[in-house]
Amino acid sequence: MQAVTGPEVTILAHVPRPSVPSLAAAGLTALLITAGSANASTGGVVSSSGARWTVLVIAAVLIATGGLAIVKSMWGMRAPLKRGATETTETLWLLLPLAFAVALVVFAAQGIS
Amino acid sequence: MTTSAAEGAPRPGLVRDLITLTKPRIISLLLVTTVCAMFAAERGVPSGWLILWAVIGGYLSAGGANTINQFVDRDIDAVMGRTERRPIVAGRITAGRALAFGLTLVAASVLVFGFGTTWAAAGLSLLGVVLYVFLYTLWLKRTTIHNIVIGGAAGAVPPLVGWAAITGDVSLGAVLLFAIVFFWTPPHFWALALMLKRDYSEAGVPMLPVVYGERATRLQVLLWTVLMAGVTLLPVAAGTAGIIYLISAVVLNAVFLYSAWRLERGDTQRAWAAVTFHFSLLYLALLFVALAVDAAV
Repeated sequence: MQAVTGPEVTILAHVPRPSVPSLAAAGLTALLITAGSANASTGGVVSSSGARWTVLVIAAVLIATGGLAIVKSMWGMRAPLKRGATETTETLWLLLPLAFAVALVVFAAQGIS
Repeated sequence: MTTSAAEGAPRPGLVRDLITLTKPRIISLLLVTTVCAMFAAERGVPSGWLILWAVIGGYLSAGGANTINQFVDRDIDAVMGRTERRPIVAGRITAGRALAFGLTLVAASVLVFGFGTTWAAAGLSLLGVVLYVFLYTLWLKRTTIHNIVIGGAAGAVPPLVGWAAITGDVSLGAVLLFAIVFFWTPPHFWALALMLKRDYSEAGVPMLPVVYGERATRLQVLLWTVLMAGVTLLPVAAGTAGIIYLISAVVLNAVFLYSAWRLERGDTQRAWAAVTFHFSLLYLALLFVALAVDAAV
């Protein structure tokens, strides 16, 4: 990994990037489809299980797309280790939020009859 | 007036400095998420008294946490231009008195929540303070580039508190609202960090743009915005929110994604960092207001 030293800090080289414009375009498209799909609602809550499944799938696609790209681009990225930080904790801090997001999708799916 | 009487009198500006310690501008957004979560938990309009107690308790809790944060971070605050005029750093309030003030506010918040709403809300508000002070401020802030990701959990607690103030417990709906704020925090905070990179660098805080540069940070703002957009849809799938919220979320996410995308492209990046940061504040407030409206109608 290439290191660029500065006056106060060390800036580490950048990691490979996913195709950002396509990612953003996919996200925007998915969100617009979502708005169209959830047209069955009563009393405020979207009542159609089909519409809720559609929203869930789109949410899952966004979470998976963003999550995988985050892991790919942030894997191995860490500040110079200080007291209170290890390779293990750095990996844990990266994966924990993404595991949380996946768990939320699973729990939300269980709530759809 | 005698000398001893003059020494015992509060100095001019003390009240203003105490209020400054609590960071009222930050708290206002936290209170929006708290109150709107109460509407979602109630699936209607909650009792005005409950809202009042939750707002008072929320201000005391967050204000106490912010005050303790400034006590712990006074060494960092002293070298950052943005914070060098804060009351402790400027010597207008001693560190010990600030700590006592912060602890008093936290203790008061527990009592206000406990007697005014539910003890579950009181416990969760205390959990938020503990996460902010110990997990974020004392541990992660100075050690990892993931500091504001994991530490963001502290700022995401207010919706849990608001929900528990109504129901006395925490269900999936509450956790989803927690998650929205949790996943909103990285793009929000990294956009700010792009603007304050020099300050963080001088203070030795390993914020992402300090360690990996602006290009890597801009990409992460976009990627975490995509992830966050997905999470904001989950309340609809779970049946916690309805069509008003969904349409609002779609529109707000589209704007946030566009802003993050423009920032990532690097076009006048300083300006887009500012746009993304300021819009993120509006985004969270409007998203939660939409949630409340959705629940109330």
